[in-house]
This record gives sequence, structure tokens and C-alpha cells, in this order.
Amino acid sequence: MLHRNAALVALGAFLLLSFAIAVTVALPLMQEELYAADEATPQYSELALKGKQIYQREGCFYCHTQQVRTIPNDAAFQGPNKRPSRPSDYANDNPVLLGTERTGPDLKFVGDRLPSKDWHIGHLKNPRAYDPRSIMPSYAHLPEEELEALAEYLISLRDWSVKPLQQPERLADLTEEDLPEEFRSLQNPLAGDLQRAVAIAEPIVAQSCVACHGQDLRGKQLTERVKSADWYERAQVRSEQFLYWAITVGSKEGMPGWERSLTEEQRWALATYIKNIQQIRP
Amino acid sequence: MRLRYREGAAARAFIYGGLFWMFLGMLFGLFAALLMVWPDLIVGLPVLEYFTFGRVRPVHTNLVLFGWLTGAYFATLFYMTPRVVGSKLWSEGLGVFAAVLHNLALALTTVSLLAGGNVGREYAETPWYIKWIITATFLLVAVNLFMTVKNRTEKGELYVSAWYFLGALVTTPIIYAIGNQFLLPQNPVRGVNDAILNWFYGHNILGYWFTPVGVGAVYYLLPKLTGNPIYSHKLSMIGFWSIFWVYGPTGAHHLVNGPVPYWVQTIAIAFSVMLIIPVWTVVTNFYGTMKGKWHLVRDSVPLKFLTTAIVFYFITCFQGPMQSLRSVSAITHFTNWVVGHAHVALLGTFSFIMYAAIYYMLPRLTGRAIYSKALQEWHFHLSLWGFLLMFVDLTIAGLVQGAFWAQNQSANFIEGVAMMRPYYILRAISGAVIILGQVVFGWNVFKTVTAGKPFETGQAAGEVAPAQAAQPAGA
Repeated sequence: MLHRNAALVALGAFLLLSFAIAVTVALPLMQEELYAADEATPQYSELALKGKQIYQREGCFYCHTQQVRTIPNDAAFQGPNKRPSRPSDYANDNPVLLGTERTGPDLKFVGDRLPSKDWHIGHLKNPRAYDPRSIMPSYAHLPEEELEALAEYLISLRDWSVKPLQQPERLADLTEEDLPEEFRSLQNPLAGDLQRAVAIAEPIVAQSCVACHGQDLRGKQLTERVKSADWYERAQVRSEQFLYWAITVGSKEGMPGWERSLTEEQRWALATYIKNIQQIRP
Repeated sequence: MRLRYREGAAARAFIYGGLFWMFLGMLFGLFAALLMVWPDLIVGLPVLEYFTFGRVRPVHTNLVLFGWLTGAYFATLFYMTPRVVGSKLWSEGLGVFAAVLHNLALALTTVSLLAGGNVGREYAETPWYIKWIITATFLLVAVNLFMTVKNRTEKGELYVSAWYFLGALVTTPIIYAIGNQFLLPQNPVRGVNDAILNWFYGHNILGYWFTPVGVGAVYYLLPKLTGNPIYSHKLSMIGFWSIFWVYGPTGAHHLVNGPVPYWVQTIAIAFSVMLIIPVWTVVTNFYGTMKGKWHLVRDSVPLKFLTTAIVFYFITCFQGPMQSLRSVSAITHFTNWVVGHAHVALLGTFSFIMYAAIYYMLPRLTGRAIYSKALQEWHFHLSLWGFLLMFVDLTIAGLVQGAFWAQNQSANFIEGVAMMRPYYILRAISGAVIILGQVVFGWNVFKTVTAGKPFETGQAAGEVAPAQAAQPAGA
């Protein structure tokens, strides 16, 4: 009988959909905790919001997710608090750009991993200078002020409950005099055990360092202004403590700070590796 | 001046428009695929350098989903609805006007997305004013078809295709509005709820628009092409009511393991798994209808498209529920697997159904027989093998990606990117094969319309004129 009456068929379909709307639209909309911000929620500046517009306009979200899932598969994308992302992280987002594909890496906490604006601007202009395997489009055609805004947005994608690293401007301009007090007296726990330091450092060098410092580790011209450090040259002029500090905090010019992604021992292993590079890779 | 349109004008207009958007949309898809192989392809070229992957991809998805498939669906609705209820289309003029609006909306979509008008929500990228044009088009079609059904002369039970069409027409505008920031310039909803609404829409546009109209079209075409009645009326009913019941709450399976409440994910997963019920019911009913008529497939390209589409429907709708499970999603989510899955549904299943529908409708709309049987065969084989290559390629690529991330907990991500290169190359090749098939199709349609031999109902192979129970009424 039902199927004799067109209006009844349509009404039936509508009622069945209403159930879905009630449960999966109306109910979540009424959950107040899904809108609540906390101290970790990003606070976007006007410039960052302009950058978000550009991120949206250029369709960055088709290749980059902004969600760290609750599974170990996503561990490398977790922020400094070693946690997945949660609803409060998005309280200031409209639209929310969670993304559905990970052609490129997740960016939810990219501002913690790569806090340097210059790094982002250089990378946006020429991604393949930073890693030849990258398939990200070049954005060199965008005006300078748009790249600036985009970079501002990217570095604001971080866990705001953790203070950002205090980074020096340009490492190359500094001398041993500039090394902060608390780093000067540190002892290298791997001193005298070069073999162990190399064993720890080698995979990290291959995975994280050669992209910018070059396969030969003699430094690379990344952009017109930025050249990465030549390890052979630095080994001559820097103390192990200085190298350890540089690895730990990075620089505003683009060297990432590894304080949160590498352990102390790993950072010391790298410092030892660089200091003895002439001997390890003559 | 009062314009008078000949019968079928609206359906014809939507077919021709749909084909145009299909070519353009697929070319944008191929362009996007090439950019993944050669990311510096357009660097430094004036104007062209702005059309980076992120701007091209939504043009591809919008044109093939809303230009091609939706256009072909409107044509199908305008052709089939009057015939299953035994009346004339209420207003051809209004139908043609809807086709004009539809093409205007798609032209604006293309321009605005390329010019950077993306509002940041997948499948809802267009600026708000275009959404109003799309909604208006849809409502015009819906009113036209509801009036057609209302004016019917046969007062018996509505044929199963009509249930699906009516159900789709009444639910889709609601889903569209919810998922497109309520058609406002700025979404009143912020935070993760914005994503929950986005995926309520993003998935249900499939569940309440692309699936029901496609399935309704198969219910119409199979008996026409085989001469068999529908296998089981009971299965028809179970399939129809269960899909409108279980599809709706599945949207959040796109956010499994993500930053949305656990219960939201669990409901989505439970209902996604239940989708097996309507899908297996419908597939059983379709293949039951083929009983004793499989030999017809040899000579009928529309039947080839339909029978393969039903296999792909089965595959995509088995993948869907499995992918929604937390453990499977952990590996497949965010990878190329999902891109492959999307193409089985929208290309392998619903586009294939529309190819069959156009081959069936076109001679009856133009009075001209399909120009070349050989070109039909080429269209089928190029589409099928091109698509299979794409599907297998993306599926394996997705598993490689997912396994690599699981193994490294996403560390050393760039190496996973590098691993994808051969798969991206193959995908671009498969896309080119598919497009070649559509060029053959387009040429065949063009020649049919301009130079086809006169057509009389029932002459084509496998198209016996049926008048049995559980058959769509009319010619």
C-alpha cells in the first residue's frame, strides 16, 4: 500500500534521514565541550588568519592533514606533549581543515617541529631544494607578503600550552661567547665512546640531516639568503657544547630545533658525530 | 514569446552538458595526476603556474561529481520518471531552464576554484552564491518531477525506480544545505563540528543522491535490456528501505581514530557495517534479474556496463564497511587506497551505469540508433581496463603507504612519498586510457545525434519490448 502513494514514499525517506540528522548532526552540535578552547588551542593573529585563507585557497588541505590520530601510526606527528590532537585544538578553527589525505606530512603541530618562518618561506618557494624527493608544488609565484602570512599560519599550528623554543637569529654569526651559560658546563655523556655515538647518529643523519646539509654534509644553498652549515667547517670552530646547543634549539633562519623530537643522548651523539666528522668521513 | 520544447528536450540538454563536464573534469584529473609525477611541470609559466595541484584537484572532483554524474542523473530522472509513472514530464521548459542553471553553476565553479575561491571544505568548496544556484537547480528538478508523478495516470503501485528517485529528491537538498554551511557566506559552526557536518554531507551525498539514482536506473534498465521481470519484489523493498535507514549516520567514518568523540565514530562504524544489508540485497536482486539472460551480455554494451558496474558496486560497498573499522582505517585512511575506493564508486559503478543509461536513452530521445557498435565496444574496454589499472594501482599504493607509516610510526615520511612515484606514473597512464575511452564515447554520441540511422523501439540487440509484471511501465 505504501508504495502506491508517492508522498508516503518521500515522507518515509525523509523520516529515516531525520533519524540520522538527529543522532549524527544535532547531538554533536549540542555538545558544548566540542567548542571549548584551552591553553593548548592555537590563537591566530590577524596575519596568521590571512595565511589560513591562503592555505585554504591553494588547497593545501588536500595533501596535508591536520589531525594526529589516537593510534601509534601517527606518533611522529605528535606535538611536544606527545599526544594526539583533540577537539579543543580546533576550537578557533572555522573552517576546520582536518584533511583526508596524507600525500604530505601532517601539519597539526608543524609549528613545534619547524618553528622558523624563514624555513617555511624558503621551503614554500622551492620545496625540492630542501628535499629533492618532495612532490609539493612550488609557491614561488605568490607575492612575498602572502608567503609571509602563510608561514605565520604554519608556525602557529602548534601546542600553545608549551612555550616555543627560544631560537637565535643566525647560527653562523655567533661565536662561543654567545653560548648560553647553562650549556657551557654540560658534559658529553658519550665522550670517549665514538663508536657508540656514530652508531646512534648515523641513521638520524641519513634520515633527517642530509636533506638540507647535503649528502656530503658540506652545506647547501637552500635559498638566495640561506645556506645550511658545512659540518667539516663547523667542526673546526665549534665546541661539542655549542654543537649540542645548536642542534637542540635550531635557529630562526631555518635550522629546526630538535629538543622535542630527539632524546638528549641522540643530540649528543650528533654533536659528537659532527665534531669528529673529519675522522668518521674523511 | 512562449517557447515550446519537444519531448525529451530537458533530458537531452542534461546529457550533452554532462558529457562536456565529464571531458573537462577528467582532463583536470589527468592534469592533477601529472602534477604529482612532475611537480615542477608548470613552474615559471605565466598564469598556468597558479594552477597548482591544490587548485586543480577540486575542479576535477566538482566537475565529475556535479557536472558529469549529476548532469547525467538529471537526464536519467527526466527520462525515466515520466516513463515509470506513465505520464509526460510536467514541464520540458522548466527542465531546460534547470539545465541552463546547472551549466551556469558549473562554469562558475570552475572559474572560482581556479581563481582561488575555495572555502576549505571538501566537496563543498564553492563560494556560497554558487551553492544557491545549485540548490535552486535541484529544487526546480524536484518540483518538476513531483508534479510529473502527481499527474500520473496509472494509479497502481509505483515502480521501484520511482521510490529511489523520490527518496533521493526529497533528502538530497537537506543534506546539501547541512554540509554547505547552511548556504550562508560563513559557517555558523566552528571546531570539529564543522568537520562532522562536512562529512555528514560528504558521505550522504553518495548515500542519498549518487547511490539511489544509480540503483533506480539499474532497476529500470535491467528489465528493459533483458526482458526479465525484477527477480524479487521483497528484496526490492528491503533494499530500498534499509539503505535510506542505514546510510545516514555513517558520515563520521571519515574521522575514525580522529579528534571527534568516540561515540560519534562508533555509531558511524556500526551503521557502515550495516550497509552490507541493502547492498547485498540489491546486488542479489540485480543478478537474479539476469537469470537465464547472460548470453545477451555478449552483444549488448549497455548490459556489459551494467553487469560490471554491479560487480564494482559490490566491491566498493564491501570496502566501505571494512575501511570504517578502526583497525583497518588505521592502515588505509589518508592513503591512496581511499582514492581508489572513491573511483570504484563514482567511476566504476555510477559512471558505468550512466554510460549504459545514455546508450539506452539516446536513441529514444533523438530517434537515431547508436552510430557504431564497434565504438561502443572500444568505449567499454578502454574504460574498463583503464579503470582496473587505476584501481589496482591505487589500492596497492595505499597498502604500501599505510604499512610504511605503521612500521615507522610516520617517521621518515619523505621516503614514503618517494615510494609512491611509480604508482603515480601508472595512475596517470590509467587516467589517459580512461579519457581515450571517453573520446571514443563522445565521438559515438556526436555521430549518433548527427548521423545515426533512424531508430525504432525494440530493434537494438537485447532490447525486447517487455510487458510483464514488475516491469517499468511505458516505452
